[in-house]
Amino acid sequence: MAKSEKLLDVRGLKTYFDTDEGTVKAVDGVSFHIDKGETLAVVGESGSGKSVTSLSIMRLIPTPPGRIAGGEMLFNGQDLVKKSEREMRQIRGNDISMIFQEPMTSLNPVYTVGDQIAEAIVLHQGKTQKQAMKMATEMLELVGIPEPAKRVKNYPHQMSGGMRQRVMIAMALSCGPQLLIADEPTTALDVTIQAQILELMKKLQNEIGMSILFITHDLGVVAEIADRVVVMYAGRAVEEGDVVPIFTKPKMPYTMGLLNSVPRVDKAAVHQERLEAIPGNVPNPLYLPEGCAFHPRCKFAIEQCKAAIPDLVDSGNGHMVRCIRWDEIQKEQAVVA
Amino acid sequence: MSSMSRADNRNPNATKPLLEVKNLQKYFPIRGGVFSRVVGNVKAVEDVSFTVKPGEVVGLVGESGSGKTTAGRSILRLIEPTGGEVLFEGVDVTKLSKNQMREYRKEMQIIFQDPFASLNPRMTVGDIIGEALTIHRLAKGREKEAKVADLLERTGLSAAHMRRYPHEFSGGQRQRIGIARALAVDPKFIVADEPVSALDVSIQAQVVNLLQDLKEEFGLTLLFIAHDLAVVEYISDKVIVMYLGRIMEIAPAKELYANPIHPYTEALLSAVPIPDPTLKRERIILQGDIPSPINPPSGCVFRTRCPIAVKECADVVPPLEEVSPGHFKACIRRP
Repeated sequence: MAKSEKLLDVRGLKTYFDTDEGTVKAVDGVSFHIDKGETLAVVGESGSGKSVTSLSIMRLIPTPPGRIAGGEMLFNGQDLVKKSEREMRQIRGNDISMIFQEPMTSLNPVYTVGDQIAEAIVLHQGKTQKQAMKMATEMLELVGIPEPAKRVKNYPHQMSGGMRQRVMIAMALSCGPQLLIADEPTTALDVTIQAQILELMKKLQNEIGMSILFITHDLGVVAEIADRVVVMYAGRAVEEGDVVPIFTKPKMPYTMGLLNSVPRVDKAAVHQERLEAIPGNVPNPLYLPEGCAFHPRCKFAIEQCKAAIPDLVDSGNGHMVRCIRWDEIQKEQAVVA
Repeated sequence: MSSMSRADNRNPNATKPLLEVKNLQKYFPIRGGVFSRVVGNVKAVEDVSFTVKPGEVVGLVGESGSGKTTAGRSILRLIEPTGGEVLFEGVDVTKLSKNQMREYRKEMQIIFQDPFASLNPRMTVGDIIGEALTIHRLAKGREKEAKVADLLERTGLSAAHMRRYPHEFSGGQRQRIGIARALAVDPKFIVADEPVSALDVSIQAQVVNLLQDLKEEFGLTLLFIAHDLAVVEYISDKVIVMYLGRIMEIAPAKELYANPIHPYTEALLSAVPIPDPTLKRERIILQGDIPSPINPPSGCVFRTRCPIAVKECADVVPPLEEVSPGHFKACIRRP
């Protein structure tokens, strides 16, 4: 088996926000890596720290109040935490680019989409405006926008949400990045349009071979696009592994709960009468529970769960889990089944 | 039980519909030019007819621009419909005066999508839930307080929350407050407009389960508007699929998911991502975007994106035809 190469290796990342009420540890010691050409999905609910993680990689955390309080992020072996703002500007757009949830607010309404795509090309690749505009048209064609030569002169408001997200992708890919960070890129879109955009991203990844860090709350989307998955809860990674074992044999009770609480259209025929909801609420990041942050909502929790934050341990084949009871729970589950 | 329990005096098998929507239409005028003349119309709801039986939960699904929210609000007259009838217990509420309508507002309530925007931040939870009781002169003083406390308990909160303000609650808890408010006046009919769309999945399941419990307990009649087909399936008895202001298909919930007839329903179901990476399925990827409701396509509005459209689809608006009991479709290509 060929040894896969790590493109990005995040180790012990800590991103804190200093607020009047105290320090919010939005990301508290998160480690993961992305291999070349793979898609890693980071999944979590609001407040899990998934978006802060992606902004930290881009070094786009507003400072103050935010700061990267620890850890390293090795991109091709170089630590992004140590880069100056000037060096980061070279990396952003060129080597790592990002697309966001809201394609309307991330495009400038007073420039044509062609100008906006060309700007990045002129800036990073030293092309002339004319060459850049030609490339912009080609990029629009690549992302499946009909009549690209005409559309390149459109303003963002003349396009639909799905079109704008295609433009964002064209812009993000225009400089041939090695890593594309996609932060909830389909959340604001209708399902039929979401299906189009996911198809497009898969197709482009096959053609271009970039790595994708895909941030989402939607487990259905994860199943569709990811090679590997990191599940986050309250600022920490709680489970990590290849996509199939995460969905078929989840080991962390939070992941199990999350999978059970999602209504599924394909289960309609057998119609489960009730959804299995996770009780309680996502904890306030200022006052995280002692020990395992998930224990107040966990049906398997015991006294020891309150004692200390569990380590992320390898349960076999690189399937990482942050739960002191994973082994027992697995045996219990097997008995029930 | 208190007077709030209605389940006993309702017969879900009653054939007489509680709500009958006939040819509902809502246009929003577009004004332009020097004199702000009407230069066009956004045809949000074109021709929508359906019935809701007492005790029934009807899901209304569609993508953005389908007109589902506009239909829901027109039924309650939160916006005035342009045409059509809305018969509530046989009375056309679109013809009622403002004063007459107030009586009916007690019977028809709404739960909104955004639990952050729909609760007044300056009012306590008790005041928010109790306000309608005061307005409709249903209860005051101790009695009102007891009723509010009861509603809070039933929606999974606690009576002690009465004196707190909305900002002290999470999204899921606020949605429970919104539900308690709608239930306060003991309505016969509730429109729930995307009530779980803004919530995290683990919380969404809690609220869906709560609505299901309340449906049994109160015998609620609900129009459940959502874009998420999976959520709708869980809660609904019957599902209506809308596209560009028109109904494409109506079917009993299980039937719709097991046996969709309309190509749009099919595509919509196939586009929903399923959290199972081992599942291999044929996906229907629709091309293009939803056309503008200002100038919708002639004939069948879905034909511009339909994988099986033929020339004839442009000629006439396909009528909604019953194919099996309770299962209606508007498509000439699927007999």
